[in-house]
Amino acid sequence: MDKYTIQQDLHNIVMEEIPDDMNILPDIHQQVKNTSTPWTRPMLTISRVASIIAIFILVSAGGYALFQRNLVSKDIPQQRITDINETQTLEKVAVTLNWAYGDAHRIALAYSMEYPRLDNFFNYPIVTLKTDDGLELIPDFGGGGGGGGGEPDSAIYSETIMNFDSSIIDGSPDTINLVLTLDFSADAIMSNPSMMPMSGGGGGGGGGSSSNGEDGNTPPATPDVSKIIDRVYIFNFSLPFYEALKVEPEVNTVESNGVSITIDNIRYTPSLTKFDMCYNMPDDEQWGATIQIVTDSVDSPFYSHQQQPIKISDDGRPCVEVSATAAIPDDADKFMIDVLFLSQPLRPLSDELARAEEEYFAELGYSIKIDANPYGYSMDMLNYPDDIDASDADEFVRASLFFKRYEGDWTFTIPLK
Amino acid sequence: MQEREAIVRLKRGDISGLDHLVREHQVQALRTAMLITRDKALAEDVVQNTFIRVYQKIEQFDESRPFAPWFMRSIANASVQASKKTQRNLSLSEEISDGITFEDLLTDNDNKPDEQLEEKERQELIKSALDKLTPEQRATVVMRYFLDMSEQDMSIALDTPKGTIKWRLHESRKRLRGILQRVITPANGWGG
Repeated sequence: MDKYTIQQDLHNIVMEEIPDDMNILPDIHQQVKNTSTPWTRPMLTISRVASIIAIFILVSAGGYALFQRNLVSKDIPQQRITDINETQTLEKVAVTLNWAYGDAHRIALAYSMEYPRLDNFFNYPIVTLKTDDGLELIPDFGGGGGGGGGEPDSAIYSETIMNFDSSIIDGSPDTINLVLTLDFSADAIMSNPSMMPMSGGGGGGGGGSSSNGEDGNTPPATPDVSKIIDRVYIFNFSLPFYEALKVEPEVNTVESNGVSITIDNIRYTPSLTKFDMCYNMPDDEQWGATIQIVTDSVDSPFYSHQQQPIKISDDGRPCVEVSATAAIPDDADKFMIDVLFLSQPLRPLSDELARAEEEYFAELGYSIKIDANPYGYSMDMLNYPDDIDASDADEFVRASLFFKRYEGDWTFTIPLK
Repeated sequence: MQEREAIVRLKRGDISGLDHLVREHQVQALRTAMLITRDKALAEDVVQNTFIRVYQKIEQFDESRPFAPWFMRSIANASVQASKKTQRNLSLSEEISDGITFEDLLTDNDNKPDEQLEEKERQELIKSALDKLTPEQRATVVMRYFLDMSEQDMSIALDTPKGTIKWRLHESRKRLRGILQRVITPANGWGG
């Protein structure tokens, strides 16, 4: 009886005791409600604000929005995606490179895996993407995954979307040739603690299993070991590459409610727009901003930026760099950058604050019910304006809930032709 | 919703972030706790309490790191602590089936001929073997063989020197080997 048999047995034993559909979420909800330990979530300090901002910058720079769902449908022009659908199968594990997209700000791609349940298989590969001349592109924050679960005897399917920063690619080539490597080998993965394998998504059939032989004993020379170590998938593919264009707003400074906002240095690709935004802070306090990119046919997700300034403008206003994904259509002759409001987090959370937020959103046409305690809150959307779909309504409310808002009307129009 | 989005939401106090983390990780967490505590009700308590601690202490979590390894280490550690509080004291002479006792199973020099046990019977023996280990030994076995953690990660998770982890794994394998002697063929064994 070898190690892998023991591993399989451990999985089989515990799968009987803890089935895939076991759910303790209702108990946790109850426990959250009963949590009464006095604790006040602190106001965000500047450094905390800075760290949150770092997240937002990374998110948007990588082409993945924090408040966004359905990455592919929302922030990449569908007609510019290249379908690849190349499948490689090694020892019962099929990996498919489904599609990819590339511009001067990011490369996005999706791969999927299908493998037998309880196969000795790591489902968290080391992923590298290089140009054909060896330039490695760095994975950016964000991406997504899903799948797993299903019947005990069924194969497990999962799909992953990844984003890479492509700004290091020089020039404006019409196409780029790329090499994607998905390395599922045990040694590669176990040498990278951040990639330590865990269960498949969606409550799938438990973790993968393998050995890196670190415990001083010689791993048994079974076929299972070579199966794991040799599992490397390499995809060579080419993509159209869309350059970044510098564009100018019709008017680059807009003043509203006592706050002057200037936008410049706009760099635009079909999926991601970057720009600098300078504004004076009301009350000399640190304010973030929530923005949205809008075209005649597409509204981007909402972006909340809470970062510290990266520079000071000539007239003494702090400036931040903003990145926002938005699938701007090919035939668009302009797009708008809307600064919806400036914001600060409201803390500590309380029932009183929750009622005030419910009233505020009711005036905007959103009927919400908030249950708050010092640790956090839950929000149910009861109704929302007819002209907004459910997910957009949910995103909008969550993007600004429990934030102090400084409102104004700052809209910038950017012609594209 | 993606995992990082869930964590950022939770840091802002939005419990929908916790819901996502629970849905994604509860089954693996329950299985890990179950293997270490050997008690389903206790495992549920451990996992619930650990999720609540995540909820309360999420500010301390660096969202640039993957959540699952950090969380599973917490589950393993909490399972050990919970098990020690409710230590199951099984008698060495307790009969487990057909007149076979733990003492019989723990005998390394079992002179009975090897026999190929049915899968179900083998799993029952492993369950019994796990019961015979200390919580710390069970945790090392579970983290190493179920969660595929490296000894370095286990050392960090259990706040225990790597050498102690090696020793515990050695002791655990030795005891399990004794228990499972009847199903290990001479050519194989516990390779680690």
